[in-house]
Amino acid sequence: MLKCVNLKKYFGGIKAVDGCSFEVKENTITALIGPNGSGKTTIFNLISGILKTDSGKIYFKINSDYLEITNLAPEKISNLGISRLFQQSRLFSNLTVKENLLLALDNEDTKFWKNLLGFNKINKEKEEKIKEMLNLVGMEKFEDKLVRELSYGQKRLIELVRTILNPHKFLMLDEPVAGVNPKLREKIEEILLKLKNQGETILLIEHDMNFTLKVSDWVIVMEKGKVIAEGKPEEIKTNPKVLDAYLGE
Amino acid sequence: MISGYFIHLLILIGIYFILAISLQLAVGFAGLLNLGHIAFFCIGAYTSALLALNNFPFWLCFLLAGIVAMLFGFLLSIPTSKLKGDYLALATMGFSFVIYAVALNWTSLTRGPLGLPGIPKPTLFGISFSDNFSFLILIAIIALISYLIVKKITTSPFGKVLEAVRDDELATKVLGKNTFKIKTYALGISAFFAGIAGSLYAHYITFIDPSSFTLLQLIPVLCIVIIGGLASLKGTILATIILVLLPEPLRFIGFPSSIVGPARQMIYALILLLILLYKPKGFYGKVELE
Amino acid sequence: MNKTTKIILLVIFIVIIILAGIWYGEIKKSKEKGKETIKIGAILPLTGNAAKKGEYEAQGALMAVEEINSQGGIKGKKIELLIEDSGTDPKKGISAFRKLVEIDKVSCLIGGLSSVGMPLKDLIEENKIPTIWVSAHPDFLTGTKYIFRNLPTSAQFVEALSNFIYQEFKLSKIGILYMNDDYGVSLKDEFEKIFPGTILFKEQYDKDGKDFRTQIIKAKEKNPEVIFIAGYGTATGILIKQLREMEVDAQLCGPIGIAQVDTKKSAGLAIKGVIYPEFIDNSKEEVKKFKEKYMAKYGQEPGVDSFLGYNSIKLLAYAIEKSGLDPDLIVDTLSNLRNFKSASGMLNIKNKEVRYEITIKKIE
Repeated sequence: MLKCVNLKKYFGGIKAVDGCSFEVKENTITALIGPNGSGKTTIFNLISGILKTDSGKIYFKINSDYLEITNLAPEKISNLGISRLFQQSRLFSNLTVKENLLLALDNEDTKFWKNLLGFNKINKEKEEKIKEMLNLVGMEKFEDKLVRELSYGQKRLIELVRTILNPHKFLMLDEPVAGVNPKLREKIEEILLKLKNQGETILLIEHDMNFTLKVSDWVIVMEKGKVIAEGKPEEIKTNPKVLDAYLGE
Repeated sequence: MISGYFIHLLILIGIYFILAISLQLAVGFAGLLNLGHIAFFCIGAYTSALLALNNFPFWLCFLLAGIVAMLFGFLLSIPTSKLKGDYLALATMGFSFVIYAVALNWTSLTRGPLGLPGIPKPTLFGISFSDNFSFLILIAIIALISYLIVKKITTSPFGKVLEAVRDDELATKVLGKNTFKIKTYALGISAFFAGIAGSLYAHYITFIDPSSFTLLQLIPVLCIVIIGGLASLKGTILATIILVLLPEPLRFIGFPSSIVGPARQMIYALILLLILLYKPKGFYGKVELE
Repeated sequence: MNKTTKIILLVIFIVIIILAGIWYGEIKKSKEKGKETIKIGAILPLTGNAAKKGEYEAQGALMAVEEINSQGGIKGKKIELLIEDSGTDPKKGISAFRKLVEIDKVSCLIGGLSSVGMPLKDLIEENKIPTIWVSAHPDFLTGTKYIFRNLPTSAQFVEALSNFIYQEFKLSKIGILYMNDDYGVSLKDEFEKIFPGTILFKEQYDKDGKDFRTQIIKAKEKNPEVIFIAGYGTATGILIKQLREMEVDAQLCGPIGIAQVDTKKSAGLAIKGVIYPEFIDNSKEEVKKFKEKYMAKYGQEPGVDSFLGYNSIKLLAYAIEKSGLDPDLIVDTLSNLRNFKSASGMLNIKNKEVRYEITIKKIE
């Protein structure tokens, strides 16, 4: 569904991404792993359009064709169906949980005149969808709480929900379970597997090996800006190159 | 008798209120620290005055004041859209210097330092609003309508998008929203209301010159926005009333003439400081800027 | 008590204070029916960038009031001078006016600054308050009956200066450097209108500027014999200094403001030889006496506005003495005033403007 071809991104003398190519197959959960500084988040930023590539191309499958999406603006990428979860919390801290989620549902809210004249009402359908998702993560009571007042773990959950509510065909999750307690971790695992069963495609970055190996269908390993190995989780677990990369860090 | 004095104060509250909610829209809701806001006020005042002095009907002068200011708001958004925080503040401040310089130096249009005297009082539907009381009614109606419009904007989903841009612009983009367009609208609408406030100011004071539109004039408006609380329209109403009325009781305290000016100013500043110490987020502030 | 209630109470509290003040003012007035005073209002820029001018005018006016009161007042009644700060802001000026006229019930008004005075024109006429104002704005008196201008107009000075230069020095090639405010612009216009010789150049300079090399280079190219500098204050002084530094040795002349303390200070030695028209002639007896008194009372030299403030009060007092408090009669008396002895010498009032004797002086 997503193809990256020979991506390169340098920051001055640092080669953050140095000729990286891989493919994410439809309806899989693919994990992107590697030691710190191997370029994983940079790849995510390149795909999201937040950083510009120095060279290389990115392709995304729409309907049955591949469209080149290299260096498109972030909002365009999002509207093509790629929804992104960030590593650090990027919720709107002065808004409520409900407001944060409503913003993800559609882009009717950017139409100034439509809103001014009152033609963009929050209908029942939207409210139910939000309640449904909040229920899923056990946070129905938090609908009207200000995001500022939530704990770290609660924020991560809401952010995940927001990412999912954003209309998408492809999910990019950057460390969805980092710093989250084990019970919650299981819940998120459930959610991801459920999404896959509903036909979704997910690309995730994670440091938690157990979680990653449990949940993924395919694992891509990066080191120093390049892909050094990829394969099924069991293979990767015992791959000597991979063990080397992690031990060497 | 006393009514003349009071009515004048209420008119000032009306004008400041419209100016304050326009700034609140940009700063409190959209997070755009527009230190050049007075430039829109200036543009509105001059547009309305020049048209009125050329015998255009008041309603046209008034609307065009807002529209011309709004166009400048849209324009300002283009070079400043990639700027954040301090840099945005500096750039917009620069804009207000430019507008001031134009008002001062384009003498064939604005008469520069000589200003524009004799701006006529408004006439609408054949009614002349020349006396104070009727002017107050006019301002009250316009202020109310402005408040309702801004309230509608800020409580609508569009208002939430503005706040989202303020809280985290990147995240807003990643949700698929065109933040450049949103910020442009925010500056434009904010400029529109500042422009109509400028028109009302010009027609009330009947004489404008560049000295009324310097960066210094922004300070009371910024104070109102901060003391009322960022992103709070209710707070803005309260803060406007308090900040306009606060210096007045001081007039009745007889200071010795040698210090009367500075003494009153210092007490006023002291009271503002106390308010901020007691309530750093303003009266109704709930917004914490990162 | 929740937050909203607290705040509403605060607002009510402030409103009550204002009402109390107004009510107190009314009560005080009725109590003082016995010991009536003549109330004169003053709206001056006591804060802001014209604060020095406002201070001078206030001090001059107060000195006049004290003098008159110590000699028994006007027909036995003392003058009460009520000073309000306009802060150079027209909105504050209007608030001050309304308070002075509607609550304090002043009979006459003095004040300064065009940006504050212009918006007050209609109010002054409506309320029939005889007003003497220090303003250089050319449109200030148009369409008014009750307003008098107390500032020798640029027209008067420029006329005197122009005649002097053309006749005495017989120099007829002159250039103009003018400041970018209403004063500078109107001076430049007046000079152009009246000077019979050739005007080689007209360059504008910024009233808050510090570097004028661009303008000076252009001026130097034209090689003028005289340069008329239409400005005042620190920037003008710096301009003069730089003119001499860049070896422009034309005869420099300027309006009255060129000889003020801050101009002289920033020009340093370069100020020598600059000529200007003066209505405050230090060789006159009455000027010397005024300066002495002022120094003794305030410990500083009077500025031009000190004389103006003093004269405004003296003029009003004279008119009230002669014709009582009826505004139309006061205006009549003032309009036809001839040979009035003021702190700066003789003055007449013609066309609602105070006209002073003007002498040309050279800065040594």
